Amino acid sequence: MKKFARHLALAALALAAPLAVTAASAADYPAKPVTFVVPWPAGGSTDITGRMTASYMSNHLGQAIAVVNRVGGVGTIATRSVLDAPKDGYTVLVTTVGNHVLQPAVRDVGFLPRDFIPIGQISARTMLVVSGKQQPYSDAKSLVAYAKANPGKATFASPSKVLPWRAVMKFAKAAGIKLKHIPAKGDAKSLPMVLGGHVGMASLGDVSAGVSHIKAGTMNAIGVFSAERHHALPDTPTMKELGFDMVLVPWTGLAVAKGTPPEIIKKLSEALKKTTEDKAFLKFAKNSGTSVNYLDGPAFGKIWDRDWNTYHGK
Amino acid sequence: MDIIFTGFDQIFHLQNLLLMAGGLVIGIVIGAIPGLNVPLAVALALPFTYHMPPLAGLSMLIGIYKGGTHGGSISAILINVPGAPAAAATAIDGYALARQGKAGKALKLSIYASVFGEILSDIALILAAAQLAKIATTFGPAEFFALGLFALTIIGFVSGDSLIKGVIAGCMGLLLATVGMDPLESMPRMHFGFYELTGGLHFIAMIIGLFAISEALIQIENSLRTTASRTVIEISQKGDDNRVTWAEFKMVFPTMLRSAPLGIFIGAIPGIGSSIAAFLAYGMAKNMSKQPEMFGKGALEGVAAAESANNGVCGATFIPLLTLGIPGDVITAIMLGAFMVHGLIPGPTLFTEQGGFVSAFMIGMLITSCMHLFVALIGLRGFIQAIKLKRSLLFPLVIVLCITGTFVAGGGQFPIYVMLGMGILGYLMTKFGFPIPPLLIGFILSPMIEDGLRQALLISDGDLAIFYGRPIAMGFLVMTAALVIWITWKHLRTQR
Amino acid sequence: MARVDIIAGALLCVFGIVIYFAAPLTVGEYNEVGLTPWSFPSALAAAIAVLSALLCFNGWRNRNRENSTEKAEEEGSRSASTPHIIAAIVVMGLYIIGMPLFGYLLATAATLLVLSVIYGNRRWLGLFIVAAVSPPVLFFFFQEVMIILLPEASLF
Repeated sequence: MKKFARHLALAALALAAPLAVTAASAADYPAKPVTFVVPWPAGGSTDITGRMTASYMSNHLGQAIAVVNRVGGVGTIATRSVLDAPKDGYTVLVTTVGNHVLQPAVRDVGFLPRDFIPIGQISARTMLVVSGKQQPYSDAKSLVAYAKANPGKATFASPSKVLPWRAVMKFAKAAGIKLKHIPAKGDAKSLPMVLGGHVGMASLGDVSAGVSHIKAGTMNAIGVFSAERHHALPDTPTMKELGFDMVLVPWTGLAVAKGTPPEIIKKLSEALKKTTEDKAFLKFAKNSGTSVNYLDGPAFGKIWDRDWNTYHGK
Repeated sequence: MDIIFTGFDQIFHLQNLLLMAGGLVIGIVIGAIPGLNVPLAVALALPFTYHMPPLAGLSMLIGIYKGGTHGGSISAILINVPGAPAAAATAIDGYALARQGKAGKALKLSIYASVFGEILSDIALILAAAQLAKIATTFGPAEFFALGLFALTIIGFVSGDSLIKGVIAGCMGLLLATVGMDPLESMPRMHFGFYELTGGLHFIAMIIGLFAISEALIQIENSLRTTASRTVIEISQKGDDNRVTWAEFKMVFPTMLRSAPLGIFIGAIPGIGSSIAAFLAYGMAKNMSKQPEMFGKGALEGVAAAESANNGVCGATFIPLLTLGIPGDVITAIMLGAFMVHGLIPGPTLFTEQGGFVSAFMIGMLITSCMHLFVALIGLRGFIQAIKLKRSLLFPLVIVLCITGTFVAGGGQFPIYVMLGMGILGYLMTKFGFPIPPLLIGFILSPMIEDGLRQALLISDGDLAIFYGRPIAMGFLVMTAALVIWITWKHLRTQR
Repeated sequence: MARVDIIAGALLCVFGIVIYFAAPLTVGEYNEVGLTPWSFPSALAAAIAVLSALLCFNGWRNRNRENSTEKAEEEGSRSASTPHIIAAIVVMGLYIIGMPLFGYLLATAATLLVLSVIYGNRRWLGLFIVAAVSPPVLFFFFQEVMIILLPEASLF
């Protein structure tokens, strides 16, 4: 045992090596690679937007941008981790309405939307409600009629306490009908349930998951929650057209923790603005079906406040 | 059939073929290195594909996926550390063979079985995608619940000497999976005040801890024993120990022929995955073997069953992805991004609008599988050399790789503590005679069983008819009950 | 194994009972029909408690059916390696804590060295070469090729 301890001490002694010191200040920002934290899994739509932005924004920022996915807690763990990181502008949150506003509005997650400073909105998405072919309803009108005749019989699948869920609940309230929610972990889980007729409808976070099925006729589109019709689904009406005054838009943008020096925020904002005007970026975004919808920091912040007022305490 | 031939032009480009081979190499190496794993490799490679033509990028990702699913078996056989959860079933008999000096034989068999499973799976994808896609939609919550329970019975086949300890380990796995967010309410539960736990226990961190760190701790004992060899295993110099003889191949071929279709079936249903396929095939092979007592002591059928089933999943997971736009596991979910970025939206219209692309993609899968055989056989030598490293150098490297790999997988410091905790748990379990595979099986099946049960009851308003009124669900439940009774009876009989 | 079974069974039984009662407390508000968010965890905790009580009982019943020489041997090898195993776990813990303080390179090199010593390696030259070469290789691969940032020293 003694011999073992001596060997350990010897090994520890070998570590007394000097290290180079690097210091960073606001003036020479960015002096080292910047990290984008994505609160949703790799390969998802937020991840695509985040990585795409990172890859073009690094040209305008003059530094490499690393992207990490921190999944869990409906996005709140990643969001909170950005607040815990040093407030030096090297950790940027790729944020969405779900993790940023909706979660703090429904439960105590240890942060509020305004604990962050908005850099800018990158894109907005279109939410879609689809129904199965086997169902006795195929559009909003027949759905309302069916649900009024059979209260609670019509079911829809979506994750709990996320925007697609909130949107359908709001729609049901406005239409005066009762729909039964079947919680499912994501679009990948709710789609097969609709296709197999196990549930009636699915509320999807993005049109992309449903477009192919609607075109092929394996599913029917009930409506979209955006202000205007989506270009991929020109025949699908918006909720507003259907007579329900509701526009619910999931957004993706960048934010940093409050307390980050203003000159750093300025640099980030400028780089993001230039990126969203970059032709190569726009072409890429169009290819992937991302609708770029840039808003500057203050305007993005107003969206946060608007959504907070919509979802908090309701 | 015409459309299949248009695909040949598109896929047969040097760039695509090189990327497939490159992907296979990356996949096998990453899969074989403990601490690094396939989802991580695919996630890391994904951004590179954003700037490539779609077929080129996907060729590489397929290579990584296929290579990685098989690569996990290399470290499973050589040092008893499954590089991927799907290789956990391979480790049981593969490592036992390696300890007899037959590492070469086990590794080669795992290559043959993997490639066989892959090719069969690719053919199923090409010929019967539309028919198999129906399975995916027939499975509703009630069916998932029933299938989940049925799959739990594998615990009875991988528990070793003590069934009760296996069942306790299985329950522990089911319980650990409930930590984090309630899947239905999206509210935190079982976090015990630790805010980070609301994210749940990271699957990757858990796997690395349970298998790699615990093995590394066990190996400390071996390295301190003066009589033990300085390397983890010895490689026999006898020729027959390092290859699969024709007689042996003929013996295990029926097992492969049964296991690969099982893998294809599991792969066609989204959300189950290759680990469960591998364990199911393992259980089935043990059940049908003439020498079930050899299982766990170096049965060739064990390795063949697990490997042909887990790689059989690889092609079939693309059935729900391509035909319905539904990713069946973590890896295909990441790969969905590679489609979407190029405006290719998987789903029924993909076949009608992008028929040429789809057929090129499918042929690409088949080519990758054929290449896999050669790439893997060439790479084998390298791994055999690596195992000649001294134990006292190899395992510190393994530990450092595990911690680095968990850090790199994202999530900061916390998952690393999870990994360390699971490593200690795995070590204690081994010391107290509890088998680890049941814990893994329970952990994977837990959400399927719980979500299925609760969703089904919500749909039916608490009416149990949703289970017995449906033939598939009922069938699985009856089979589950029969198996439980049979396993318990057999166990009680052998105890006396 | 009987004594081991009694210990493990007893510990797990206590664990199961604690979790059974603690599970509902971890859930905040919920609005569920039928099964609650804690039904599943509680049922599993109960199953663990019952099964481990059974294991404990079985172990107690078989306590005399023990091969004494085998047991002694097993005990012997375990106690000899226990300090080393605890040391390895502590080193891993220190590595995780030390990474953001000392930086990835230094922490990794040190961990490799110390762990290798715990594993009984006394070939100093080879050890130093591995400890000096492998961390930079990993660092280069992840940070430069894959652009995943590894911790840098914050202490200096």
